[in-house]
Amino acid sequence: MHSYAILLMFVAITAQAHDLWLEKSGKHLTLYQGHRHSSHAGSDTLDYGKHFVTAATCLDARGGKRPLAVAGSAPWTASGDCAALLLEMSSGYWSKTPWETRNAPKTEVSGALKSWRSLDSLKRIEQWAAPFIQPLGDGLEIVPTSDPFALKPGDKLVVRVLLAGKPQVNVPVAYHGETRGATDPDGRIAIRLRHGGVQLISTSVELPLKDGKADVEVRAATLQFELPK
Amino acid sequence: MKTLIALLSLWAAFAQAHEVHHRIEATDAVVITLTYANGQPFAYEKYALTPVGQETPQQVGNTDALGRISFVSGAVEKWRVQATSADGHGVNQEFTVPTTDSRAAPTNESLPRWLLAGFGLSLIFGLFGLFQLFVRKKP
Repeated sequence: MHSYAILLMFVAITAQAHDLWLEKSGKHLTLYQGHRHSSHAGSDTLDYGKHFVTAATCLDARGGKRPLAVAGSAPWTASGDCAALLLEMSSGYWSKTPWETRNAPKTEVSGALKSWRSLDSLKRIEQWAAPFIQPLGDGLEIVPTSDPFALKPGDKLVVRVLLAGKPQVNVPVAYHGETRGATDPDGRIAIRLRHGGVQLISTSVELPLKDGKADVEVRAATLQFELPK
Repeated sequence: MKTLIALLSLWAAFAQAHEVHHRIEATDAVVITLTYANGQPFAYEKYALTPVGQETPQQVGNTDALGRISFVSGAVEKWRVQATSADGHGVNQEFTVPTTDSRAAPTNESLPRWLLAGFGLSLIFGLFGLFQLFVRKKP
């Protein structure tokens, strides 16, 4: 009797999950979730809850921050001139049993084998500015080490993965949902930009959680910018 | 008495109609292992396996504790595996069942050539070093 394995590695990222991206239409930016820009197949866009977005910050070219409203609406939209936009999102607590994965803390699920709290962040850089070489928030963040708009398809962008300003070592980093490698001891990784248009670079880390509602906290972060097509 | 026999006959027919026969045999199987990007198993999640070109899945179910799906491919070579979790992870990918040759030795992975070459060079330099040491010690 023979047996053999086909190993399917996925991202999602969060591992990998659906992509998150901000789409610009005139002066409006709208948050989408789905597979429109993924390297793997899946629904173009997927719904998310009205309270998915928990914080939104608009940054000017000098690094000045202006909080944006996150009043419960889906899809989430914003308007105004921002050199960069930082969104924080959460789909809440999740618990896995042998029968299902429920969107609930382990305290509300019988027979939970694994549980986690899901936190996401998305940073869209609209135009390059010197302050953007540093993290713009306190959470997990992908930080470019140089101006990404100076690059063209085929070039490599070196980014750093930081959590509360500290380098994250040996964490997987994906380009449009396809894992490209892991960060070095300085949290760095070089990502080759394979095409023009929307660029999505993402990562995730798992942290211990001691709130009694889940075993771990899964934090995912995405860096988005656009190159000419 | 006749009523009792009639009832027993009816019960027997009822039991027979609901019986499920089973057969156990050893056969070739394909094992798909699904993992998250960090290597953890995509365990206990729903999946569907569909021959490419068809709409109705041939097999549906949940992955096991190690994120595996095992199935008998038969004559069908090209398949699509779709697996999703409630929190948004998933895979939707076509694959071709490996040929018999590639099945025969699934774990027989030889060492890469560069490693063998490096080992050979290290051995040569090591022996040369020992030889030098031995020659220099002689008066």
